[in-house]
Formats: sequence, C-alpha cells, structure tokens
Amino acid sequence: MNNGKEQILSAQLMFSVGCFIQSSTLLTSFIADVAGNEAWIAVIASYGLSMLLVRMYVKLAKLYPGKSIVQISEAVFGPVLGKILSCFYIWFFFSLAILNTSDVGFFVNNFIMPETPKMAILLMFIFVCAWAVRRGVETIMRYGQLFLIMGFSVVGLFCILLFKDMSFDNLMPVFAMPVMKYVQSIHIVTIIPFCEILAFTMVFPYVKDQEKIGRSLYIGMTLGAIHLLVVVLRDISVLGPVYTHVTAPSFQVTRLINIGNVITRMEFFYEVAVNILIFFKVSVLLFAAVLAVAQTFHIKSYRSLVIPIAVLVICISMAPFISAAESGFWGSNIAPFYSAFFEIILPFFTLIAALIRSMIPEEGEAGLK
Amino acid sequence: MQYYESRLKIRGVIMFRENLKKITYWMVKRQLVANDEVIGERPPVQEENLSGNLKENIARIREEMGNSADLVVREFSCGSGRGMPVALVYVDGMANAKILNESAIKPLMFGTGLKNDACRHGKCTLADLKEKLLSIAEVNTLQTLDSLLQGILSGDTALLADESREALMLTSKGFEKRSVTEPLSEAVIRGPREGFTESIRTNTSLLRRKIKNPALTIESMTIGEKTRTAVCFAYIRGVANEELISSIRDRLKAVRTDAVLDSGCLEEYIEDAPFSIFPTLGYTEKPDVAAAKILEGRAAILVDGSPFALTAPLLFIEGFQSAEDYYFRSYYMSLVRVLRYISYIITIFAPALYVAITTFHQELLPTDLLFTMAAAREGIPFPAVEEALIMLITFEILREAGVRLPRPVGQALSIVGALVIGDAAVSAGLIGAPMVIVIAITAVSVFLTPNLANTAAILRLIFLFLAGFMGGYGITIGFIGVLIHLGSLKSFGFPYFAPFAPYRSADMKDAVIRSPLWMLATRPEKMARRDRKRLDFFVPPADGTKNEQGE
Amino acid sequence: MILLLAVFAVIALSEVPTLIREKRWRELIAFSALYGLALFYASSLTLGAPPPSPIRLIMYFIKDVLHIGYTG
Repeated sequence: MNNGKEQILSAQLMFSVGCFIQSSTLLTSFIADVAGNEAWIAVIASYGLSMLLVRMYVKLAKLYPGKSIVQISEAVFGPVLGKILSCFYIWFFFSLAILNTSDVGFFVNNFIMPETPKMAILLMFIFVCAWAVRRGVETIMRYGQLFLIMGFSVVGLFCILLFKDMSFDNLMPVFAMPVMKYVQSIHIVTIIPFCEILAFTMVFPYVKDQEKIGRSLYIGMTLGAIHLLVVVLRDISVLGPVYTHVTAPSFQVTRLINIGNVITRMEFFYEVAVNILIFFKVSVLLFAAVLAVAQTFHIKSYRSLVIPIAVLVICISMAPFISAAESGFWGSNIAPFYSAFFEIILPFFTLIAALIRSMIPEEGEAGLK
Repeated sequence: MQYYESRLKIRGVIMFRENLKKITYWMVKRQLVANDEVIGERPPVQEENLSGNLKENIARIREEMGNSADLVVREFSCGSGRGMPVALVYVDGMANAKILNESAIKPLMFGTGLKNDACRHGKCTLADLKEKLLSIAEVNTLQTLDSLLQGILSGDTALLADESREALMLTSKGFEKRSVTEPLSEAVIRGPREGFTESIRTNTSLLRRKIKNPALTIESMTIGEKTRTAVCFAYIRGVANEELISSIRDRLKAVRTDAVLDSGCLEEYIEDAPFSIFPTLGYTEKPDVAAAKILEGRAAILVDGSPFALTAPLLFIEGFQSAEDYYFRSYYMSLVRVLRYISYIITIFAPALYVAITTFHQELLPTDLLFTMAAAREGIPFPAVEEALIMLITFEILREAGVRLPRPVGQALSIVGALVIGDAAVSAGLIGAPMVIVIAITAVSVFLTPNLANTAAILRLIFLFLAGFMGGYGITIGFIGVLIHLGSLKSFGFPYFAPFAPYRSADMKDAVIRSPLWMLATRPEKMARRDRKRLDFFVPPADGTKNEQGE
Repeated sequence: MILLLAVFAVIALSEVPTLIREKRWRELIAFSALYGLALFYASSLTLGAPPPSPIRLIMYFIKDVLHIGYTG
C-alpha cells in the first residue's frame, strides 16, 4: 500500500496543527503575567492577526508546491544565501525543541516528581520523541487527530467539572490596562502558540493534496484557537485575581476540582494530557529540525541524524535558564522578538523575493521574444 | 553518574533492537554453515518419470517409501482372457478400501466381460479404463513419481499399468478425522456452533457453505519440504484488495521450511513484524468468523492439519470484536464492547498504576483509602514492584497449570490457587490485601479479549517495570511508546491502528461501539476498495409500533 | 564518564556501519559533526562544567546589545 514515500492527508495536517497549538496551553503563564484577566482579548485578537500571518506561509507553499520552507529559501535566494537562511531555520526549530523540552522537564520535576533527577525525565521523554521521529512523519501526524480529540475531551471534562467554580465577573474589567500591555500580549500570543506552525512548513513536501494545505492550516488554527480561548476563559473565570500569581494556571485550576469529595485529585489527567501533547509538539519540532538539516545539506535520509540532535537537545535542556524567573522573562519579553525574526521577518522577505522572482521570467521571456 | 546509568539501560538496550535482526541472522547462519558438513546434502526431489515396466515402477515406489509396512500393492489383471496386468498402490489407513473394492477392483476385474471388451487380450489403455470402466468420481493422470507419491500419501490410490508411462490417481481418501464439533477455544452463547477440523477439505466446504458465491476463490499450494502440507487461502474476488492477495501469495510461496504442523507455524513465517509484541495475523476456529472476515475484504488461510484458520490482515480493534457481537442486539453489545476496552486497559495498567500510586504518588489517593492502604502495607517486606511481580508470576503459573492439568484436577487447582494461595499469602504477611485484589481483577479482565491476552501479559510487565522505575511519568512515556509502535505497525500494508490512528470516521461505527447492522453499510476503507457498499445506507427497519396517526 | 563514552560508542556502532556500507558520505559527515558536538556537550556536562546555554546567549544579545524589549 506504500509506494515508499510517506504521505500525509490534509485532514491529518489539519488536526495536527490544532494539536500543536493545544500543546501551548501549558505555557499560558507568560500571558497571564502580562495581560492578566484580559488574556482572552489577547487570544481573540492574535487569532485574527495570525490568520493574516499564516497566509504568508500558505502563499509561499502555493508558489513552490511540494517544497518545505528550507527548500523554498534555497530556491528563492540561491544556494549560498539560502543555506545561511536554512541554518537560521535549523537553529530556530532546535531552540524551540529545547525550550519546550525544558518546559516539560520543569513541569514534571516540580509538580509530579520532585525527587527524580531531571536528566532521567528528559532522557525518557526525548527518547520517545526521537523514536517517533525515526519511525517517520506519518506516524506522528496520524496521532494528531487522536490527540486533538483527547485534548478537547480533557478540557471539556474539566470545564464541566469546574462549572460551579466559574464566576464570569472575573472576566470583567475590560480595556483597563495601558496600551503597551495589550500590544505585548497580542504579540506574545501571536508568536508563541500560533506562528510556531512554521514547523509544519517543513512537513509540506509530504502532504498529498497540495491545494488543500491552506484550508487545513486555517481550520487547524481555528481549532487550536478555540481550545486556547476556552482554556484561558476557564482559567480566568475560576482563578480570578489569583490568575496572574500562579506559575501554571491551567494546572492549578485542575487542583481545585472537588465534586462531593469523590472526584478529586484530577491533576493526573492533566499531567498525562500535557505529557502527551508536548510529546507531539516536540516530536514535530525535532522532525522539523532534523529534516531541515537534511535538506540544507542535501542528505537523502534524515534517520541517522535524529540521535545526535536529540542528544544535544537533552544536554541543553538540562539548564537553558538559570532560574524559572528567567524562563518567564524570556517568554514575555525576549521570545516575541526572537521568534518574530524567524516566523515573520524571514518568511516575509522570502515571500517578497519569491514574488519578485516570479515576475522576472515574464520580462525575460518578453525580452527573448 | 546515576544519570547515565539510566541512559545506558534504555538507549543501549533499545538501540540494539536494530542490530538484533543482524545478530540473529548471523548466528543462525553460522549454525547452518557448521552443520552442513555433518548432515550432508539433501536428497534430490524425485522428478523422474515412470518407466514402462510395471514391476520396475512398483519396485521403485516400494524403495522410495522405504518398504513401509502400510504400503499395499494389489496386483491383478484387468480384462477377460489374458488381461492387462495392473496394480493398485495405496496406503493402508489413508485410502478408503471400500471405494477401492466397489468402484475400482470390481469393474476392472469383472466389468470387462461385456460386449465391447476393450481389454480383451490386454489391448486397452489407461485412458480407456478411465473413460469406460472406473466408476470413481475424480481420476487424474500423472507422469512423475513425485506426484504419484504425493497422491498416495494424501490418501489416494495409484493405478499402474504395464507398458504405460502414465499412472492414474484415484481419489479415495478415507482416513479418520474429527467430526465437526463446537470449537473449544471460542465458545458462544448465540451463533453457529460449527468449528473447523483438521481436514482441509472439510474446512473449505464449511467456508463454501457460508458463502455460496462463485466469487469465493480458493487457491491452494503445498508448503514444507518434509511435511508437504496443503495450504490454501480463500478470498472473494472483486471485494478483496488485489495487492493484498498478491502479497499473501508471494509470502506463502517464499516460505522455505521443513515442517508446517500448525497454522501457528505458518503465521510466524509470513507475518509482518516478527519482533513486535502485537500479532499481525488473526486466527479463528469458527467458519462464520472466517466468512465474516472474508466478506470484509480480508483473506483466510487454511492449513491442513490445523483447525485454526489464519486471517490476514489483522487490525488492533479486531481483538475487541467477537462473533457474538453481531448476533445479539446492538445496545447491549455496544456496552460489552466498551467494557472490553475498559477491561483491557485495566489488565494492562492496574498493577503498574497500583505500584506507581503507592510508591510515587501517594497524594493521589483519597485520604481514607490512603490510611487503609498504608496499614495494609505495614509489615510487607517487599517493595511494591517486587510484590506485584511475584503475584503476576504466580498468576501466570496458575494459569498455565490450569490449562495443562487433567480436567478434574485443573479446575480444582485454579480455584484453590486463587482463593487459598492468595489468602494464605496475605495472612503470612508476604503480600498486601490490596495487591491481591488488583492482581485478581487484572487476571480476570484479560479473558474478555482472548486474542490479545498474550500481548497483555507482556505489556503488563513492561508497564510494571516502567512504573517501578519512574512512577506515573514512566507509565505515560511507556504509553506513548506503545502508541508509537502501534501507529507505525502495518499488517500486510494496512495501518494497524486504524480506525483510530489514521482516523477513518466511516469505520468508527464498528470500533468502540457496535452500531446496528443496518447502519454498517460500508466495508472498511482501504480494505475493500472496489466494493465498499454492503447494503443500502441507513434503512431502519419499519417501525411497526406506529399506528395510523403516526403515534 | 566511562558509561557515557560506552553509550556513545554503542550508538555509533549501531549507526555508522550502515552508513559506511551504503556509502552515504554526506550523511556520515553530518552525523559525525553533530555527534562530535553532542559528545563534547555531554561530556562537559558530566564533568560538571557545562558550556553556557545558547538560549542565555541569545537573551543577552537581544536584551543588552540590541536593547529590544518591552521593559527597558
């Protein structure tokens, strides 16, 4: 049934994109710090902004069907400059993998098993991610659908269980903060959950229906955005003013579930869901990094490169920051600009150059005639 | 340093999986090369033709069979007058002597005294015998010694004639075989109670009786150098996928082995993932199950001498489906199916969860339960992992023993084992009472999904070790690992974890719940590409309870 | 430390012969380069003196050199 090349259906891409965005619900703490109780406005606004930005990726994919962003930049800018840009992308995916892995390490180490050495946790996690990448992108994308449904059911379940604790007054003072805060929060939410979909541009060569890529991306983003919005609304309405003070609002919210003293301690559901979702995200990022290396240096098969890159990820994830405060600072202040460079500026210039390039042959042909 | 011990444990072991194939192949090859000098060459296959001399042929057959005592040669002359010397060769016990007496010897000896006696003075040929005298249903003409021997050893009778380079093979199979009874391994409350037997012809006839369609094709071949077992596979032309059929055919043809004694032996040679815990070929003892699978676009492989038919391909969810699901009504059966999934999860995760919670995550227990369990674990000498391991091993021992012992003793021992040993162990202070309950529930829930019971036992152990190592996190990582493995496993080219992993909404109607039969309108996607429609879509039976006004 | 080297050797042994046999030279070079880097990083971690994290370097770069940020 397999003609050798792995193929992904557009439906799988759509659900995987949604799942990818779902994985970022762990990281809502940095939005909470900045936007506070009005994070939901930031989410809605950034969803709109991200749709425009993702159009860029879709347009690039349309101009160069069947190529990933690394191959596109090489095709647009020529071999030398293209390779330099590709190295930028490699570094970007690699650093995202490191950050997410260190997030999961931090989460598990602090909340679930404080006495376990961090190296063991990270080792097992990256081992499973590397194994998934070695098995092929088909395997990872197939599970996007399953995990998306799982994520939705977990969140839905918690919403229902928390219904009696929600008080929608907590959402209320609207537009009461200085403008820079809004700008900052919109910036953060656009960059971190939504535009990290850049990783999926590496997957484009494997998609079966190239015309449906745009539609899959948009619908997937919408699904992810709905999830994010529901999570943020739930967290704010339950926690209220405490929202800005806790490290992981979504986790703390699940600790409050207490139905008749019987249904308590539901954190483990949340922990399992977080583990699985971040596994998905890191697998995709790892795959993007490995594939980018392979495509930059024109290596046919990426399988053997997985291990060294995985080992590097483990080593650096042990201590990317000195403290948790630094991690929060990174998320709120540095990451928007750092990621914006790779997610927005580079593709933007690539798009401009590609459009210019697509206009040049017309002149050339006219000249030849 | 302990960081890297774990690294060695995990990475070193698992990375070697890739090399395991190479090492195994190398070791086996070394043994073969070493032994070739001792054993010597294999004898060549008998491709020789029969000579024209009857005595010589009979001598050759006797020699090939090593002068076996059960080979019977009946020489007589056919026809009136001098007659033509002929001989019947058969194996005593395999051939039905009654047929021979009535339909072969009698017409040949006596039936030739008629008006057109072609055999007067020995002037007839085998073709004459075949066309005019032998009153046997199936008669074939053969030239080679090999095919002759093959036929004799299958229960047929060879008719040799002097001055003829050919021989006739008369079907006269009459060996003892088990009658069609209820299968022991798959007992049902409702549904047909026929089961496959060891004779391949009976099995194919059972299949044909279920699917009286000329499109049901049965292809047969012989596998096994020494056993020459007849193997055939059945599928419905036009429904089954062409690539699947050619893949099965190629794999069966490529099997080079000495002996095929049971379909289980054949399974190991043609399966997709020999190193995976999960089976990629299903087995069944009931013809209606095999027929249902054939109707879905799969193929069934029957092996002579084995009452178990193999079905290819096998998907993960088939372990949770049973034949009875479709013979009872859908509401209760949907419940039972959900129960099967829950019980499978229980049987895999229960010991591991118990160990994880009591060792790592005590805060997850409600407070009262925490006190009880802490009290129960008060004087137990073993850590939770070893306790669970001891109980699991004990349970496996009891299970195996219960199967192998003679029936009256076996039943008593299982009950004794379950109650007394568990109780005694608790009183002795070796095991805690909650552990006994956990293991008991684990042991019982595995029997809802008998096809996956073996994998459940292994998965249970894996998760137990992971839980002992890393607690809940270890279980999650192990779960993800199992999912990855399932997601990339393919059975004959079909994704193993469909309809969950490549999510096929059309096939979900029969996955977790069992929708009513009139809703199951399409065959599984990809399996029956050409003929997906089973029946007209969504025709609920007429509601007879409504009266004229529609109330 | 020895365990670390042993594990790295095991991984290399399971990957490199395949690459050499199939003559995938570019892949071998890339693998060796990345693997050497990983070995260096891991061994320096084991010995207790990890190289500075590149993430911190980037943070220093953006915050103190380029002075881009929402706070100061």
